Amino acid sequence: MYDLSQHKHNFKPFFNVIIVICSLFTIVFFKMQLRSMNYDFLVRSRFYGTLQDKYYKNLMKQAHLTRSERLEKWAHSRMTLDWAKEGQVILVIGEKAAVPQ
Amino acid sequence: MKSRIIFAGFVLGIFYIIFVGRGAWLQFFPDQRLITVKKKNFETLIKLKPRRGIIYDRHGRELAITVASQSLFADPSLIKYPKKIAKKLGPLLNIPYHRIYKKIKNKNRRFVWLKRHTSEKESNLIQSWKIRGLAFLEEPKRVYPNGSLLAQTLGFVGHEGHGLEGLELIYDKILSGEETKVLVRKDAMGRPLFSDIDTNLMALRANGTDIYLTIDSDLQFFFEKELKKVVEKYSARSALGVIMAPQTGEIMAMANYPSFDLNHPFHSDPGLFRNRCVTDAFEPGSTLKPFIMSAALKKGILPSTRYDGMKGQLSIEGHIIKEAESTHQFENMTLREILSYSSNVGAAQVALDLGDDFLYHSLKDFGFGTRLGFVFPGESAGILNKTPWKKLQLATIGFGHSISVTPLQIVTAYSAIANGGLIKQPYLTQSVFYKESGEKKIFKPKTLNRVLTSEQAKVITVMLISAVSEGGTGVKAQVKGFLSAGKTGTAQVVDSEEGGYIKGQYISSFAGFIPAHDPKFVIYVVVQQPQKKFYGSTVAAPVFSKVAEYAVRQSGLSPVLITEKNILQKAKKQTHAQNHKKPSRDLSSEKGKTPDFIGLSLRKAYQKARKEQILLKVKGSGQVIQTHPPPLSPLPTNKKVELILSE
Repeated sequence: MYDLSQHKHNFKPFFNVIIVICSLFTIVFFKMQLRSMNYDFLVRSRFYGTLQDKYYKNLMKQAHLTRSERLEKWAHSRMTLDWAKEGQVILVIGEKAAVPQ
Repeated sequence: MKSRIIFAGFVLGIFYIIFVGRGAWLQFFPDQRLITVKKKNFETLIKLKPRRGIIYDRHGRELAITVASQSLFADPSLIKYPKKIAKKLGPLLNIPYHRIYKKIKNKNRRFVWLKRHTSEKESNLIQSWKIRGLAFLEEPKRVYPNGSLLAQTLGFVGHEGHGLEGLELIYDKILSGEETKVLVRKDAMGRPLFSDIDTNLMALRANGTDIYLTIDSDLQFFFEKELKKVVEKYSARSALGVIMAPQTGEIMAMANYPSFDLNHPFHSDPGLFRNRCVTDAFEPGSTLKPFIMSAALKKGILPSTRYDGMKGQLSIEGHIIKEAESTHQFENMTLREILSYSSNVGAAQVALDLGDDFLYHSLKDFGFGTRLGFVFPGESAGILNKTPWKKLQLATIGFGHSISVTPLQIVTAYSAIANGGLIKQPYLTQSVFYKESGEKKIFKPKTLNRVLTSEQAKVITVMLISAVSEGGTGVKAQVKGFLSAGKTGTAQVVDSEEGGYIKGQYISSFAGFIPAHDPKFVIYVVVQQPQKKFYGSTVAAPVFSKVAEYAVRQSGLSPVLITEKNILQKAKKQTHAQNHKKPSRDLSSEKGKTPDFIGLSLRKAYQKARKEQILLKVKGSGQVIQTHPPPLSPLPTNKKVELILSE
């Protein structure tokens, strides 16, 4: 029977080589992982840029939709609202409707 | 054999030493050429162009915004069938076939723009065709959602994204932000490796700064609409106007008509780009009279002083000064009546009484003949000639001729009257918001100087109210439920080519403020060369009325029942408050006595009370006009003081 405890000094160089190789693989693995994260970051930052573009486009659309001219047209055409004309009576209820100074 | 081996080893050893030595040399004494090659192969410079800042109105509504857009370009050397492609692109891009063909037929060229800032639909369709030689570049595009609104004030940017006119030009650097350049390593595919950068790359992207204006876009829209209507109604050449908040100097609207679409500025006449409210000076006509009357009050001429109407004609140096209408023959007018009836003869006599030096300095104090420091390109100082003046010139300046002013100067000067004699510097930018740091720089109102005492300002206000009341020239400027004050103006148009005036051509104007007792809006309306009617009272005053009505209703002001008496009483109260302001600080420290709160705002009264550990009971709002117990009387044991405020 081969006694490992008696011959362990024979395996020492082998273990050393294994440790060195493993260390090298670990370093390579981490470097690859870092690179992969870099690409992931690149993709995400591009996506962030796209989202920002979308946000600004939507902001622009909202500004288009709520511009005074359009709102006035809407009020006239869709809601039958119009500017108050002279002679139209507007009832203002409350004590402070007209305030004597 | 052994010697051969030794020789070979020696030779190899020498080569090895040479290589190692060269390597060490390059390492410790780098070669610039090799560094450049290394950089080219392994490094890339990323330019992060900032997004141009947004311009908002005072309520945070977007007036100018930058979005990403796709611009179409071609590489003619790669295009196989230029005719076919030109035919396909022409109708879609709305560009004639021959223009596209001309651009892409030359095989020696490598880059030609076909269309900058294509629409989303266009870019999607062209990309789906996958034509070799056609490609898109992303470019920032400035969009003005309101089209022509505030066009001359906002200005616009060029194709390269730099401001060319107006606020876009003035604030170009602030809005643009700074381009960030980052040197990063790249991989074999040329993609950047971000591990080299310590900080987040996106954080490095410096966005342009946002700007908030003092403009109210709704008010601006309404004002522009009314100007358009009046130009069309009277077939006028143009119209313009300014609205200002007198207490602060904020410009709330600045309108020019005709205008142009900011999204397509290069399709318009460049003559329309000028903001004539700031750059153009013209004779103001009778709208200058309130400042002649102000000068008269400053010189000690009493409002009740009477001037002879001279039966409507005043002869000076062989020239005859007439009233606007030959039927106008006034007799013995007070200053108020001169203003109310807009008497040229009366105003000329007042000016003659004042003398050229006094009137010159008085007008200069109001800001005429000087730049107001308004942050805008091309601000004009107007024309106010230095003294000595000829007698005729002095007399004509009395009714707003022989002097040129800008609308901005007029509105600022009226603001001084509305603001109790304090003249504020007009400004357009409320705040600047730096997105990166989150810092907000707020522009504060700046007082230029005091041109009138509070009481003098109120006397002029009463005169201006009478000019808008029944019998005055500006009766059409009245606003139901609100007391308005103002003055009409009708001036002849100066012939810049041949000198003198153009016959039958006038500038109709109206300047005033509302509500007269507590002005919130100073409005100036100018209609240039109306054809059917030309008096300021007929053409410009109704526009003032409509715009003023909209402004007060939009701002939620309650209609008031008010008389001239209230104006004078308020002036007295204010003067009283001013007189009491200084001593009150000295008296406040006396222990056991009621401090003097009179003239203080509620906030300041509370601050003072907190210091003295006094309990306040408050009635009304505004400034403190009365206290119980009165100032300096023994303080009650419960330390309770009742404050009665002005409103």
